[in-house]
Amino acid sequence: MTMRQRLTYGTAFVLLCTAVLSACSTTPAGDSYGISAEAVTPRTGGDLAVLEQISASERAHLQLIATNMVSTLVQVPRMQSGSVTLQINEPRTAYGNAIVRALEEAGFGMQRVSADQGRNYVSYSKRFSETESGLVTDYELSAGRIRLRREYSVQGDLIYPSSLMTIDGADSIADIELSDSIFAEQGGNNDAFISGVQLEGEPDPTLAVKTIDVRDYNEVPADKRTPQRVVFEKARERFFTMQAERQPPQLDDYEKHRRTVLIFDDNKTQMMGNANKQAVRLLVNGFSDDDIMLIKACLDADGANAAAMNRAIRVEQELLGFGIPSQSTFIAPCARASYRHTSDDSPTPVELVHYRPE
Amino acid sequence: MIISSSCNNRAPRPISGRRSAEQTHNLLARTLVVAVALALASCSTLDDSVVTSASDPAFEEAAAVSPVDRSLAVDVIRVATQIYTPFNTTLQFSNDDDPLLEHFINAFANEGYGIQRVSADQGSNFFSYTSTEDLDENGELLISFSTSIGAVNISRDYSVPRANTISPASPFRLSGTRVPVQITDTANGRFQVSDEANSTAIYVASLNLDGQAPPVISLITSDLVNRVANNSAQTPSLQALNSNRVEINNLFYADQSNFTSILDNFEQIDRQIVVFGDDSMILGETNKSLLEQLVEQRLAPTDLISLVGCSNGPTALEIGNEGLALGRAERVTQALMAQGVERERILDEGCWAPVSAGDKFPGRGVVLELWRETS
Repeated sequence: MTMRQRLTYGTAFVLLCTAVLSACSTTPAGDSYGISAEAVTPRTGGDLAVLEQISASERAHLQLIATNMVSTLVQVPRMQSGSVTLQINEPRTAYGNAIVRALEEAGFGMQRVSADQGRNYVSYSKRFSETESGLVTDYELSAGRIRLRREYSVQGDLIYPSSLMTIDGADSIADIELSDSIFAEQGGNNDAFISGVQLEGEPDPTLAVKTIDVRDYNEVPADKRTPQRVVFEKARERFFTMQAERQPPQLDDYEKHRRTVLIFDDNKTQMMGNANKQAVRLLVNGFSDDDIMLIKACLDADGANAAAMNRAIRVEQELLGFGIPSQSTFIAPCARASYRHTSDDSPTPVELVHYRPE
Repeated sequence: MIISSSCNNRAPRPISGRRSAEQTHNLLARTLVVAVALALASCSTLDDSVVTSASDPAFEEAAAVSPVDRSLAVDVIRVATQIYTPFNTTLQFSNDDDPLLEHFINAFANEGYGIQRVSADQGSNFFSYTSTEDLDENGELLISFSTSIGAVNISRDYSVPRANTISPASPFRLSGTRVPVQITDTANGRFQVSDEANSTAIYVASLNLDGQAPPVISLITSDLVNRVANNSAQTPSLQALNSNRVEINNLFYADQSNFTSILDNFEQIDRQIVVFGDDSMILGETNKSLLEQLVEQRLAPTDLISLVGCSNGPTALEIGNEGLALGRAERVTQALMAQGVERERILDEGCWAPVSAGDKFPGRGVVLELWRETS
């Protein structure tokens, strides 16, 4: 090999190394987990560019915060995502985009407005604070008269809550359960954070606050972490499960007014179909404030039946969607009226009975 | 996730034998190209592993919707906005990855509607569409486009006179609403108006029920409730749970025991009937001693006992024949267990009906059979 060739290959080798190193350095340094900008951009509207300007791990942090806030919001009484439409402006910040995407994923109706129109107008903010405990960032989300606020702090690549979740404007926060396990899934180096919900301006001596310790072995691989959609589903389920546990009022004081039988195509489907929806639409037409609606979905088992409960919840969602207040709908406990083998996949009935005070 | 491993490119194979300067030159050049390609590829892989790249169909929507579909959507939305007021209506859309649906979502959102994405068909204003294509008598493409928003169905036929252009081939057909709508078909580059008679809406009664049976809403009167209750009371149930919480068939209807498969390798060596009083589950001293004798004198360690609790005939008890039959079987089960017979060796089931079972089963008693394993 001539000297000239050696020089050429030497130069090429140096260039190659430079190219490799620069290509590799486009990956955010030190990022252990991150998400794409598309994953936090609202499906309708949204500003992809503003999310592309921040790192993948910052986007992941924003998604965790938005998930935490919105999963709390869906449990606030009268804010059930299936029956509430929120008014939003076009989001312009990264946090705003993450919040709007999370609200979409949670199943809220989203209506774009030009100013602050609407009963459930959504606003949000993010503030940096220097406190005695160091730098913290205060995040806020408001929907109508409900306002949620919580501080979060970044420790290395990880983010944890650094305060309780404060809720303002809610009648009750008794049954709200925070989705704080999503922060523990990041793992940690003997870190800890506090978890609990409090009402703004109302000190509660019975306030349940717990400390969640996070160790390195708590870290869940990126592809195994609880997806945002699942966090919201669980939060919604919690609401409906608690709804189902309520005892209906004394039915002796009511008379059966009307009933219909909805037929689901099989034991698993959540699709109601046009005929069933039409039946619900007709049945709720004559519904008055004092009336109640009883959903009997479990007619073939004693005790519990998860598939039947899912159908009952689906029908309850539909009733809420038609404007029936959640406090007027009740799911009847399982009572055996017929036999159905677990492998039976034939059409399944759900009885809907409209009661009216005597 | 680990940077070093992703960047760990395979080294070129060692060169064996003597090569000419040109060969060496070529080889090094090729190696260099391959190395650069591998390095870049590995780094792009690394980036993917760090950033979860969830592709979102919403961002690919714009290019995927054809001009024809866009024109159809504009035409439909023009009518829909007259039926539903945008600012106080929320529409529900499924989460399907469908570019045209996404196009509708964006268009409705721009009109000011609330947009709610749902996992199934939840909501009072659930949106769906169907589009079917056929050829008309002139061999021209005919599109029947139908959308449903809640109870309202909006449908219209369109011809496609030339590429990317549609022309209404029918009036709008509306069902589920009587809201007056104004149809103003205005020709533009991709929308032709060939027959102005089609620029109208007709109201039809048909409801798009997907072939499901129409809903039946019954007014619940006392007569109806009493009739159903009477019917229910007169017909014995087909199944129930025995004392061991096992699902069993009512033997009044069945020809064989629920435990036939377990008893396949057993032969019956004894059969007794324990008789109970009317509407009673009390065993009594006589029956107790009968059971004692059976356990002490006849029962071998591997034997099984099958019990059929019976209540066939009228009963005044609230628990009915079913409760009485299964209660009697449970009472005998308890008595046998009290004498040391393991629960798993007792197979209890029942036979119940408000009428006699004839010779098949006693009216009020428990048929007790002893089964021994065949050698």
